[in-house]
Amino acid sequence: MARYAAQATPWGLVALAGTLLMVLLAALRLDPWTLWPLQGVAVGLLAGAVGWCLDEPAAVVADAAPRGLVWRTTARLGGVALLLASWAAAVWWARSVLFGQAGAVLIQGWAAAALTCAWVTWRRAAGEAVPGQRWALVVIPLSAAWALVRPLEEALPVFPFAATASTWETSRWGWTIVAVVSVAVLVLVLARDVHLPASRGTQRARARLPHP
Amino acid sequence: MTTTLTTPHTHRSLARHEIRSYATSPLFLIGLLGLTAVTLLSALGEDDGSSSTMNMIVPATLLGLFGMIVMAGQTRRSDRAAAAAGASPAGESRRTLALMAAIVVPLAAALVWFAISLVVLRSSPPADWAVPFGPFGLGDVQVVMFALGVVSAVGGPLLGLLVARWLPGRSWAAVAPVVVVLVTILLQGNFEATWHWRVIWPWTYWYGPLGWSNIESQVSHWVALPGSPWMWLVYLCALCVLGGLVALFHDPESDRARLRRLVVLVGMLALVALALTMFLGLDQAVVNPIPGSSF
Repeated sequence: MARYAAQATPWGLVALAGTLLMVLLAALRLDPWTLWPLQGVAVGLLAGAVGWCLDEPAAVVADAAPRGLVWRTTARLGGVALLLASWAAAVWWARSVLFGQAGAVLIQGWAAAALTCAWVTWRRAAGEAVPGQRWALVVIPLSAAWALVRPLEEALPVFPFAATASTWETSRWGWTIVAVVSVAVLVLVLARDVHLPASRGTQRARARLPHP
Repeated sequence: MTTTLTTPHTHRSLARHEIRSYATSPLFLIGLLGLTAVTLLSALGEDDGSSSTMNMIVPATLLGLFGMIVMAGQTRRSDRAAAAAGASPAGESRRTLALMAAIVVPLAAALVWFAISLVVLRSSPPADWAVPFGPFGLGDVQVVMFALGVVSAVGGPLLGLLVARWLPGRSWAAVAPVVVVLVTILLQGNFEATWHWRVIWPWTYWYGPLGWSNIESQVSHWVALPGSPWMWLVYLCALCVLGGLVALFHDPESDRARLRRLVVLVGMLALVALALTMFLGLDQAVVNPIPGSSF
């Protein structure tokens, strides 16, 4: 598993994204009032990088191999764990300027990562090779736009701003629900892959292989 | 090795194809929908006193930033199609020109946004504590709105084209917007130390409640920052042309000697415009004496 993880995980991207996460949240220490959108941008970057880690560019070969999706997803979790650790370290580093909401910010990142894992694994089980890349190219600009423009900030506080306690509470609940539902979906997708003789992705990959 | 056989008809078809692809790209459509919703809500909703003078972030993000990703993806698709075709009917330079033609799509959307913003500006003028005030006139405000709203909607896709051409690997297309936002937010004019040289970066505020550190008090004075927004517009346009030339320069089969001369020429024009941006216009930041609300 270690050899597969070492070769399959995009470590360069993990290192770049981990560093950028630290830089984005460290920048908040300069002036959180004016630089706050960087927090939302960082959540989007974390989600995008996690998705990228779970991709299988060699799906045509790997999906037909005896090792199932659970095994391969578990092997790839090393990169995801590093990203989550970077996020936790970045939040800890910037905790004094997070308006007393370091816990809520931490939850945002972890919930976004859980949502990404669920969606990308579901698409992988359906036979898509690199759903994480597509996910990253949508979620990064969308979260940046949401953080910068802040639409519906009272009704839908995705990335709450400053010291308005009520929006933080709503946001914390929203992200917690996202995390719980995502983990449930992830478990379901992986359990289905274990119990079915072969997932759709595996069936498709095997059908593509030449007959002996 | 590719074989190139092109006619004006091929160029037009290729350009039409890229324009259609851009206009139907899901990310562009999401951005357009968001821009329409936010612009309408802003135009029809309650005015906070700033009218439409601070709305430029919306097209810059939803057309410009999204455009980076759309154009990078479209460039890669164009390259893949050419590689799969083998004997491609058009070389890289022709395909790059066709991709540049697709910029008319975000440009048209941004021009509509700008027209609506001007109507809002005329029908519901900003409060006295906002802009225009003192030496910073209505013309300056409109130039800034055009530069930050319309030019950024064109510059974003051009940057995406450059990234796709010069930086191999799809991950750069995802990382580039993060870096752009990070630098932009640091140089947007909130830090006094950057006020004189921030204009180097192609997106920065020229006026606003730039004492945002006083946001807790809910009161701040609007500031007009030093420099000439008119010359800055020239600088931004030169940067866009430069971006297009550098993207064309990537093709090893292009006339690189001619392109090099053009790059140097436009680069010098950009430098002159930048220097004039810094030395013309306001020489110091000017504060509106009437206190207004912060955001």
